[in-house]
Amino acid sequence: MKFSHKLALAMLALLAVVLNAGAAWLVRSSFDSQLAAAQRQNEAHHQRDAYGVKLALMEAGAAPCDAGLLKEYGQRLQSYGGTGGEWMALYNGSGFPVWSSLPQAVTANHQRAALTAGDAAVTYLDTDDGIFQLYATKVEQAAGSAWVLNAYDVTGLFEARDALLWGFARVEGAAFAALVALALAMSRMLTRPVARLEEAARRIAAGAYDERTALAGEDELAALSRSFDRMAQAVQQKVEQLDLSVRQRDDFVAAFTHELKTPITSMMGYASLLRSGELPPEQRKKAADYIYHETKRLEALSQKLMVFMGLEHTGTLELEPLELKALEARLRRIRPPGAETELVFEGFEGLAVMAQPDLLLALVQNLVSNAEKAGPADGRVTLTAGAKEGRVALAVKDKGRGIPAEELARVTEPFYMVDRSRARAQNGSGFGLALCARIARLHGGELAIESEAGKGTTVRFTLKEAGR
Amino acid sequence: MANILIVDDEAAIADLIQLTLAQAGHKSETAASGSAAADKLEKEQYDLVLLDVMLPGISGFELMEYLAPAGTPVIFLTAKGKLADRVRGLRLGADDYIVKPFEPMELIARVEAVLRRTGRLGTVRVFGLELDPAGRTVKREGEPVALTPREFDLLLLLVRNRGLALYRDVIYERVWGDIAEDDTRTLDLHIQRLRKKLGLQKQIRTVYKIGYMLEAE
Repeated sequence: MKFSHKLALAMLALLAVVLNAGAAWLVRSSFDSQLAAAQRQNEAHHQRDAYGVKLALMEAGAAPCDAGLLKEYGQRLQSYGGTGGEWMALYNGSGFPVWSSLPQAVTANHQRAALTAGDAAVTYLDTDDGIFQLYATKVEQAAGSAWVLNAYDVTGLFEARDALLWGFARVEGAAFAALVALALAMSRMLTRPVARLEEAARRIAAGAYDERTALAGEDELAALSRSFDRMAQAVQQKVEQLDLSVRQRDDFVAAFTHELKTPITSMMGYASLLRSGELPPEQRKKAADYIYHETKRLEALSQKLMVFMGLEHTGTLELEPLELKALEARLRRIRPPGAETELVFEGFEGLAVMAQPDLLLALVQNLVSNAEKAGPADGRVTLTAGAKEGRVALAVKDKGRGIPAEELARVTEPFYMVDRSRARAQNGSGFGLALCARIARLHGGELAIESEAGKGTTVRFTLKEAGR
Repeated sequence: MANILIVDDEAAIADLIQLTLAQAGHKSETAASGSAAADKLEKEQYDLVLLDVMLPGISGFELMEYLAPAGTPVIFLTAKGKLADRVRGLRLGADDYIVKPFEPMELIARVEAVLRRTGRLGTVRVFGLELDPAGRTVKREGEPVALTPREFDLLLLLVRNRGLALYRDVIYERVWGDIAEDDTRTLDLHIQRLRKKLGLQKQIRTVYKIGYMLEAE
């Protein structure tokens, strides 16, 4: 059952109860007062008749009362024309009927019951011919006593009440039919936002994450719609983020697997050659050399990969103040003896940054190594530092072969190599800049690479300056 | 004896393929890029091209489109092992698609299967014998010699590795396609029968502690 139907039915049921109770009370109280009025009137009339009988008995004096007298009185009263809707019966003192103008419907039993009820009591008699009020009074005089019984037809009152109830029921039926239609329409209109929310939720569940409700208004449903839309927005962002990270991971695994295949192919192939038979010495040497170098490359790759993966799970780094002079000293210390390029440091004096020293060293070392591999024309790699607005910008510059413009965007992708053969010859893994970019990001900066093919490359990133 | 062009930018792999093919008695040349390969193809006629897909500059797939009209058989030899790549390579008209890493013996088998199919696999002549790898027949002084399939495989292995002492277990592995049991009397038996049938008593030498070797001519 729909909510709008429930709402309409509940409202209508409530209305029906209140309306019917009200109507019933109204009809009943009006009927009661009318009945009471009729009773008062009829009782007065009965008193008059009883008094008439009493007078008749008084006129008779002390003579013993007889049936004839009462009968005569009754006939006399009848000849006055009696009245429509009212009847009388007379009994002697012991309740034996003497004279009666009562209709057939009022049987002897009924009369007896009325007499038993006695003075000041009204007895209702409900017969097929109508509803009667019965009054009985005992009149006592010296001459004797008699019973006077009056019957009054009050069917009209009851019929009027029933007619009123029927009329009301008919009006109410018609009104309710109209109300049902109206209430259904109105509750559907009121619950339309709920239907809209339900539909949106269903579509979002089915994958349409860009679905929104955007209901206008100030009521609770509009507020719910706004909250719902905010939730949908959050869900959409989260899903997109998850999709992206899954895609990145897939790409990474694909690139990594591909990267493994080359060394494995040559290692497997040369090993297979070596183990098949006694190769000539120069071939044996060549095979062993290839296996050795490929193994070394895999080793270097696995080390970088471990650092890279380790960083992936690190949300934030514990940064500590580091004098740039100390960084310079460490860089110089790990330089291989007999390196052909010269490192030039500019502006390192007196500056300190917030950094994780080992990672920062790895970052700068990687950039320096890249710069050296680019074969700088002047045999120099220049490192500059400069403080600005609480951050220290570091740059590594070379005048080497540069990176072609169309490759620039991709060089930080894991395993991406601009020149695969040369990278291999220089034991490159295609992984260094991906690592650098990640370290820079963990320090709150971004790697910015400017390069011109044939002219040289500058890689910049910023670090937080350490307060003194 | 076929002339094969190897296109691969990894020197280690190009060298490996060249060595492997040389053992099977095939001549080969290498090209490190798509454009170098195109230059070589223009100058010389090759029986087969072994083509890597990921090349600097022109990719292997692009080179294939340039190559296809010439009718030279092509085998893709690449690390790209996804179904879509394999289908693409074969749709472009390649005769086979080998995914790295590969076993040298498998490479030779596939190369020769393509050469055989395209009728480019010549006969091998050694010590007065004429071996036809495609038809799997041997002629001695022009007269056919009946060999069992195992004997033929064993002979082919020895002929391809002329002058190279082969280990017993590796011979067993390559010919029987199985890991050698402790006792490889089966191998000795086949060697004896080969020597007798082909008159190679002296040329098939037993190498102490290693195995067998067919002398170089």
